[in-house]
Amino acid sequence: MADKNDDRSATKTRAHADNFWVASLRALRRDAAAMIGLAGLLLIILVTLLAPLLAPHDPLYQNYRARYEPPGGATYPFGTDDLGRDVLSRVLWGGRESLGVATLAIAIAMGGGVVVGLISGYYGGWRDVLIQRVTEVWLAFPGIIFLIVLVSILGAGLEKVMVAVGLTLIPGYGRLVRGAVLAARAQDYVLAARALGARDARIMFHHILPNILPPVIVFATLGLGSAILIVGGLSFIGLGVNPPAPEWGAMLLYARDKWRQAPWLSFYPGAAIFLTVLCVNLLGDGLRDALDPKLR
Amino acid sequence: MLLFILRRAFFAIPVLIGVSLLTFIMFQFAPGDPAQLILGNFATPEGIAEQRAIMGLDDPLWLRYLRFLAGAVRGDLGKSYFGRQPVMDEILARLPSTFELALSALTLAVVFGVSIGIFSATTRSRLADRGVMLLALLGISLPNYFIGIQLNYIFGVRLGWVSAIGGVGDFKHLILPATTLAVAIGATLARLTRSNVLEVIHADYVRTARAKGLEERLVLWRHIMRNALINIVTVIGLNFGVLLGGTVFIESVFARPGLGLFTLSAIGKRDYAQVQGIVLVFATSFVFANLIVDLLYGFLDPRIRYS
Repeated sequence: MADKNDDRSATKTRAHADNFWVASLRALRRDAAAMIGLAGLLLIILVTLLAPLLAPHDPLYQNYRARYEPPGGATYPFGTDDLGRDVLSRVLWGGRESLGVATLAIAIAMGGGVVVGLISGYYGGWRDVLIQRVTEVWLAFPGIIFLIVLVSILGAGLEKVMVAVGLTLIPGYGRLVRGAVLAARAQDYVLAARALGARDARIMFHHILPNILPPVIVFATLGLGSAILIVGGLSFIGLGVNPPAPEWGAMLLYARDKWRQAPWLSFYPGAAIFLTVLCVNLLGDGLRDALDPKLR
Repeated sequence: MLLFILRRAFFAIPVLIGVSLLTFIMFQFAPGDPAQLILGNFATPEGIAEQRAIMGLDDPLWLRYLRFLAGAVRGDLGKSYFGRQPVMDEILARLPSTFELALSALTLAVVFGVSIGIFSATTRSRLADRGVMLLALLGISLPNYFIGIQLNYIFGVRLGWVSAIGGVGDFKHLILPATTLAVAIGATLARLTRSNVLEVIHADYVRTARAKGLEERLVLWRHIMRNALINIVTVIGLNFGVLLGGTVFIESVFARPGLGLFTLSAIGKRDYAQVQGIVLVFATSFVFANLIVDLLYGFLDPRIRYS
């Protein structure tokens, strides 16, 4: 099965392209670690979406007769905080904003990076020079610092965090896509499409893009893990979702000055972020192995 | 070699100018009128107008940028809105603490990450390889702020071994923050080192080296690692931003008075003079870090010097 994919450039037919994805999927399905990651991730997404049904208590309800309940009890398996709010319910609710924001941020970064990278790599010339100079300057700002400052200028808030994270990540995707386009540009199927009179946009999006997609997908999946960490981190330093809301990073921030009395307050939301990122990374590693024909 | 260094250093100048331009433009969108912020809520319109004139805020944009650039080149980043202190002095006062943290974390990450990666790639035991790589995966999946909180709790509160919070220049105060910051980068390096070593371990020149009877240790360092090192150095360079950014979270968790904590307090106060200065200093040091990485390439792979 590997030999069919080794030279994807020579005869690019629809059946051939399908083969590649089918073979990749098959390889992915055989990867136990990746499947655990995928199952875990789907479970986390499901739990997050169903939080209103699953959560045993209202995540904002303050029960003053059950403050600082340690975890392990029947009513409050994850314990309660200083205001008597149920930690389990808050953790179940806590992924709604951050997972959505991280995913959309990656979508922005990927979409922007694909467009910028295609233009830069396909046209070359002054467009390439311009885009690459801007990219260099963009990348010269250390990611998280840039992000913190961007959010502080735009003002806190989830949409702003999403846009800021997306913007900071665009150059990475742009670089990746540009490199792949440069390699693809001179290949026969591109020359053939051009000879047939296809417009530039069609060649870029219809012919080149599907061929350079595998590394972009891998990059985006592994990037989703970091995006979740970053969004949580921004809330943790007070620049994302603000503390009264049940959100993992914000819960960590809220738990900060209560380490001594109630260490569980920071343990559960932190573990939730960790497990989510772990599942994403397991899946990302599996995708990388499956989509790289060299390794098969 | 000297020519190579000079040429690379020269290439950094347009990037630095671009960095200063983007920083300047970015802060044009910062909310609030600086003159108003400096004078406070009870300032009269005349007072504000006067302050704006003193600061040259009514001058055209290009003139203000040139003034900003000219100041920055001489190490003058203006005065903070609230303390009216030179921003450069405020930054320099906090730089050593952050530098100490970043450098120790980087050292830990490189030493442990690279040796773990080599071990994983060369061990005969599949179980050990799997186990170590699972640990590395955990390392890249753990939020550093979460590691910080937990280490702080375990070693500081439960065991009482180290007083984790505060203090500069003292090894005891450095060990937990540096370890926390090193985890993700060390884990990244371990994964990368492993895959890079595995890539060349079966190469013909490695087999040749073994066949001619070279000691295994020399095969590893002279032939395998020398080739894997280029990619490792690249990733260290790319992680410099992660390192600098990570200090914000770590300093916040461990209450270390460095640049990261300074950034957060400046943002909290909306002192954009401070924030702007910090951004410029961070970005400039990042450009120089990448320059060093570039120069290391030339040192590691002589082919790069002449291209």
